[in-house]
Amino acid sequence: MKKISLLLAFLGFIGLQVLFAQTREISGAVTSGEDGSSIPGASIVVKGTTLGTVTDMDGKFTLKVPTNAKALLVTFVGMVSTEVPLTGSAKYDIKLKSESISVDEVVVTALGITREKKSLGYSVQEVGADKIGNAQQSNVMNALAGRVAGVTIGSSTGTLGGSSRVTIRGANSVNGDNRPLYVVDGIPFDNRDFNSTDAARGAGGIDYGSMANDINPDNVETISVLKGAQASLLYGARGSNGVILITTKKGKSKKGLGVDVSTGITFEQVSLLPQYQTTYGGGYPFTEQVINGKTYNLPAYDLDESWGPKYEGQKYLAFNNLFDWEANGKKGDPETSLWLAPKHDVKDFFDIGVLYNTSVAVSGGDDKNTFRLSYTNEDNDGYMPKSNLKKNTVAFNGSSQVSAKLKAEASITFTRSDAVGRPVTGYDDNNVMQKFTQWGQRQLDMDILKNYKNPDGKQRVWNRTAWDNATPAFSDNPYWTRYENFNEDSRDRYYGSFGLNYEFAKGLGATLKVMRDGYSFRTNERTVIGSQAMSYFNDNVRVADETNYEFMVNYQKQIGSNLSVTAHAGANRMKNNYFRNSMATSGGLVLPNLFTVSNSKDPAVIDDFESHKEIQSVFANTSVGFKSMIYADLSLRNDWSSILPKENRSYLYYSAGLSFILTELPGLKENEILNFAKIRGSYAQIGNDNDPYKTRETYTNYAPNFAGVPRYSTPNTMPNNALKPEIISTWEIGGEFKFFNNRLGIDVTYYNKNTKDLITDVEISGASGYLYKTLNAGEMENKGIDLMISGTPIKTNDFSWDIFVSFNANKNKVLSLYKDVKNYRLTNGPFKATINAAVGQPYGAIMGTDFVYAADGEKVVDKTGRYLKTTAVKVLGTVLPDYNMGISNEFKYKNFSLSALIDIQKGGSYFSTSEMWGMYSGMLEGSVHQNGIDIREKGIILNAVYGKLNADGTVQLIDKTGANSTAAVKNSTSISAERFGGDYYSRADAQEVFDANYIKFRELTFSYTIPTRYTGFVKNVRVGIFGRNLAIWGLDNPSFDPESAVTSSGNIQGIEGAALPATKTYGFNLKFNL
Amino acid sequence: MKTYKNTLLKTLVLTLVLASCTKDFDVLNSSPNSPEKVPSTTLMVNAQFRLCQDIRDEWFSGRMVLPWVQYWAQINYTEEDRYQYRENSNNDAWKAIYTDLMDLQRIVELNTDAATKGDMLVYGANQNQIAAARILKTWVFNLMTDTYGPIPYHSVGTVDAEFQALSATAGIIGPVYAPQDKIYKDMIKELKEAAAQIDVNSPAFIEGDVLLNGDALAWKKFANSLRLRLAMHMRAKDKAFADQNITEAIAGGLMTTNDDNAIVEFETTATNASPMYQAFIVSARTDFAVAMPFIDLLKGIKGPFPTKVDPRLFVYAAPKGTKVTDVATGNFTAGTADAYEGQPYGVENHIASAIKVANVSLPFAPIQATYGEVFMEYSEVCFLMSEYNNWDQAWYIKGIRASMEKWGVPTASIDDYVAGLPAANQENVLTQKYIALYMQPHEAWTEYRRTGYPKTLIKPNTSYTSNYGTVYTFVPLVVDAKDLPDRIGFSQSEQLLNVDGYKSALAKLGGADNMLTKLWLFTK
Repeated sequence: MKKISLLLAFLGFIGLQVLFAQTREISGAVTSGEDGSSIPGASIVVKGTTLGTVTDMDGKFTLKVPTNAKALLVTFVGMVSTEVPLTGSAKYDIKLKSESISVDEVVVTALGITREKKSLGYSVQEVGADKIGNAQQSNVMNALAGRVAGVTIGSSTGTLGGSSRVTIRGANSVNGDNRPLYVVDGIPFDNRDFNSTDAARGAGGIDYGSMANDINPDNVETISVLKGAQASLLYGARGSNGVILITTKKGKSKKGLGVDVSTGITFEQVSLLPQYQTTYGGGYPFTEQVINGKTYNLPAYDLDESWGPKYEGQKYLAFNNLFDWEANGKKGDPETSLWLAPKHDVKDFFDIGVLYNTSVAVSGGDDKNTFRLSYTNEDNDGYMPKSNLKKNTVAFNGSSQVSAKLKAEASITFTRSDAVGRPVTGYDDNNVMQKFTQWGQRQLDMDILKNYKNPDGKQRVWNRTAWDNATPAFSDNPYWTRYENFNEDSRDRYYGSFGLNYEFAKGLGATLKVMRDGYSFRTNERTVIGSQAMSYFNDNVRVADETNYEFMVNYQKQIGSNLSVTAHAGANRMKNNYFRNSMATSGGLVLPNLFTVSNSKDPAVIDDFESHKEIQSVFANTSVGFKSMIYADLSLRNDWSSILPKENRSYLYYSAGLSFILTELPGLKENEILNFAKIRGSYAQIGNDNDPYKTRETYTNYAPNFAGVPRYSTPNTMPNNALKPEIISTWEIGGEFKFFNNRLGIDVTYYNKNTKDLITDVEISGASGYLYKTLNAGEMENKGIDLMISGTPIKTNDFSWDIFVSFNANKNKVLSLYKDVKNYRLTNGPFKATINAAVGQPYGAIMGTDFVYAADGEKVVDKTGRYLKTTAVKVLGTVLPDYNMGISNEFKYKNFSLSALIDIQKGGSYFSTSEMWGMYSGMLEGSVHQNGIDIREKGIILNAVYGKLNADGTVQLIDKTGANSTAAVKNSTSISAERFGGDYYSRADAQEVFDANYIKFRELTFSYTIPTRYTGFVKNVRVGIFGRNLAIWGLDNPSFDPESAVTSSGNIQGIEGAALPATKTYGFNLKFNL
Repeated sequence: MKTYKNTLLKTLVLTLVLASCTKDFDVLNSSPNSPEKVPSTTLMVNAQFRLCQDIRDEWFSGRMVLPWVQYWAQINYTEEDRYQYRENSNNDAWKAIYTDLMDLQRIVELNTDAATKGDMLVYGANQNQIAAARILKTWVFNLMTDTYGPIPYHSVGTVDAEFQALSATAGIIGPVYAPQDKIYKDMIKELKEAAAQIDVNSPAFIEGDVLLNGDALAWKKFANSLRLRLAMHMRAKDKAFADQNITEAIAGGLMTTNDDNAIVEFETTATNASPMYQAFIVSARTDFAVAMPFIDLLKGIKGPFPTKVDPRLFVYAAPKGTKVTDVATGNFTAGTADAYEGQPYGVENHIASAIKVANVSLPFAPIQATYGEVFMEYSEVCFLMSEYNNWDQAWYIKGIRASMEKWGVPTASIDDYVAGLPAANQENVLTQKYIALYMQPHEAWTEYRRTGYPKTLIKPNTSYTSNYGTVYTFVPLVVDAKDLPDRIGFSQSEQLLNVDGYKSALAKLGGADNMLTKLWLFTK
């Protein structure tokens, strides 16, 4: 019988009901033990059966129970599960105690070990499903923004499933991975992204998003954030950047099948575009051209700049006039157009994106077996023309108590995503934003551009080489770009686990678990014949998998009445494999409309790569509690990593923590004001490895052969056969306090992290023969404060108001690199400025040339009236913010619920490539108006004094003629707007560095739960409307959302490059149970 | 409690089992993607291919030195023509060129190290491979020091505390810069030693030497010819030393025909095509045209050769109005000199933009896929010999003929051109040399700074009249620029990555780190 039911459970056909001959009916109500409010949706199961029900909107229930039934099991999320003995009575008033404010709160810690929160020496923060699903996030990470203290989230704006940069308590590593580890139901979850360095640095590419986007938010029950190494030590080195522990929804013991349905529609709309100028058109002054004896004004078709004539309704020969005339066989005279600002400007290029999301889950269980099977479908049309992402997820999990001692659990999730036309970002010819903001002509009307193709298939491009030559010069028609040169990708992702849990004796058990995560990801890009660029097609396949085998013994014992012990010991073996095969055409495509690599004119170019890595580990953890008041915690782990040389392969690390619950002290116990107080502290030292193949030198191949001979080169990175593991030391102290009947809660942590011996590919002088050297180099420090405040200012039976504030201020400093090396360049902007780890500076220092300042602080111009720039590069800002803060307010009135989240970032900087080129090319408003004056007519005199740079970098004051001067002479030389704009490129890099401050109205949700009495067999019907990123305030440069600089989850941040516009989303959703 | 102990024991056993199976980790951590040993031929072919792509590409050449010596001009966006180069172009070239040098240095090491020299023998005689690498390295260092002045330098034959480049494996990751005078003397010594160690009876490389086809004798001639060039470069600084080396170089055997030319010929496929084919056709950008002062010199409108149109005009450039795709396929008729017009040089963006592409001449031969990039050729040797022999007429004519023959000019046209040519003198020889050095802009730039020729180049802040009557002005973007740039500023990446090295460079430069500081070689 057991076997059969197990089988059935796994096949998802549970619902086996044991029939009893004799039943009786009971009824009752479930209420909150704290305030007496009724609890709708609580599950009531007759113990030992699958019989059960759910309370209605008023918390009431009726249930037929077998006469021989002994007890009821009452469960509700956030409440302590309670067993109610069945007496002869037919009526039961059941009070549930709230779990969330209970001192016995249990949290999920590393390796899925549940621990009493009060016993932990470190901070753990959980976010429940209610916070994740309500605004219909398509990305789990973004749901955390503003909700978890110490987690910094930069989410790219409006890319179809684009990247989010998540760091926990700052960056640890110079060029290693700083992303946290994602663990889904115990399975380490690959969170790489495959964005090229160019995509990350705004130099062009596609933001495919990180692989963590495969986590389906609809299935998430809770997210637990382990912030410090203390918390994540049992995950080994990979947990050193913190862990995002995701627990998915499971089946519950209850009567029959439960069906959860959730569906929603979300709209996405462009909310912030750069401030374009609307006074002057493209090119330079018109030139005249005689066609068929008539003279026409020609704009400079072949230029992608906007220094053209002022809009005055002049007649001119527009590109579309020429195309129409040519299509008509050049009969008669071409029509002309009027030189005016476009009626349909850039914003009309974008659609309103629509995301449909539907999720259905079936779950059930009896007291031995549970299961949950869910299906989610997402269909997302992006706001970019021709962009779509489809995602289908099927997830199953089940558990069975096979025997009294053996429990089996299994889960499998399968996700398929298919995307067409993901937006291209950065300085890329296929990024329409580059053409709209950095290089283009301002008079272009989207309605006219929309007709992008002639009937013969040729492109109607505004950027013609000449009036009599329709070949594109620099740019394609943006509609051609979107509808013809689109990319495609598809990904199959599967992850699952199988585990056995055996209980040898009370308090002693062992688990054996096998976990696997893998995917294959195929991407392709195309440039069709007839585009500006040479036609092209590429196809990339990436296959990754990771398997973890884990064995663990756990032990729990209460010794006497004062002492409790829990202990875990185990071993893990991790194997990680990765393979990539990239193929691309060369020299163009032969046949049009055939997108295969074999359609290549020249031999196709192939590049393949694989990597393998293994880590073996043993670990142990023990916690000893005294009088439920003092807890001591000790963890050890030893790793053997395949990437390190033999002698350094094995490394041991540890953590120790102490927790003291003050309110257990006799004098403080049962205190009316201070309900709970705990202080905690912990220390951990953790080792880390890096990527494989860094210990031995190999030659780099450059395909294809030249003169029939393969080309090999010494590598750019010099290997290191004496690599050691990185060492991360961290300590934290903190406290948790609850006041006024748990109406006010404070959780505060001060932490200090020090990382050293970082495995870093240190950039060295190219003149050494190598560009990088792999070294144990560098020491970095992060210290900061996490603060969470939760308050309930008002709470009555019908109405409640909750406030939650999360705050993190992190101070990062690069303490040293290697010997005399003072700087590590993370990347450089596509044209200027670099992002660096520089000694003495916070990680991510933006460096470049600065304005030159005279002794009195005035900027200095040369005798021609142009700003001077420093020869030496200087620190112009840092990408790391000073602090992040989230404030959320939640109001509940009867069945109505309203919540609002404000997300604040202060400090940090970014470099804007769009500002630079947009000014250079006369696209931005700043290239026309300065202080309300039309500088194209009047020119501009920069507010500065004359000077020149001496060889040693000091300033020599000069006068207008260039002669040396002892006194500062105020600049009186006017320069043209074109010169002024051009100098955004050619002069100081500081001109494009802006503060990354923002205040965002991150989220607003409003929902109503319809009382069951109106909905019949459909229960818990909840309708909601929501909006995200509804408003933004406090921008340094009103053209750009600082978050739009994020195009990667990796270390390369802080460069805006033709970023996609910021968007807002809004929509509604519906959830109900059957 | 017994079970507990058992379990602990089992865990311990499992631990030991796990720990003991790390022995295959060494295999697991050896790269499946790239080899630890390669034939030296693969390094040589890479170095020769990359040096062309890194030095003669659209950036380091096309947007820097090639326009500065006024062979080409940009059609739009003329900032770089006006001396405002992109810092990234400079950084990228610097890094790329040194990593190319590392491949050459590795060839020396593989042929020297007892553990590997035996393996390398199958690809060519050890001594010859070492010599070839030394010669090519010297060619590169010559270009680098002429560009920047003091540079990190490396010598195979000389141990010197100031020669620290390419020594990362010896622990030097921030090399100091060596002074230019010392570099010049050592480069000449390297060439002398390399030429001496060549065994002309064995091949230099059995394959992969696209520059000289593995011909050891050709390498020897290249070494002597380059030694002649370097000695002439510094003759004004130390005449005795230079003359001694010139005498030895001549005695050792110079290039004697165009067959001795050191040229990398490219292939027809997009990936293996010449650097400028990649710029114009693969990247689909028509950014450059032949510059007006150069076209006017070839047409005889300006300069010392007014009587005849130089027939190289029809190889160097395409008639105005020819579409780039037709230029690349040679699908046009040359016409007469009137069909050729240069792009005005040094004009501001809005002036440049008003000049239609159809009205100027695109380059022709250099944008063919199979174009050959010249490292050094016989015609240069002839002009050097003419100069060494006090502007010798015979060498002068030989140089012109050699150049024209290399560019494929028909003999009749050559005879006709040479017939009406003014006699050799300093201006005529050096101007002809300038014409012959087309597409070797770095050497042309060095010669301009050394000699002041040709006189046809347009100086910053001067106006000039085109043959169609329009007056143009060269508006430089570097304040106080009065002539061609004297050098390029050190790579900005060195400021960040090689702090001490950069300081040593400033100390040896003898001026500010900008384009206006004269190098030792060119100070009088």
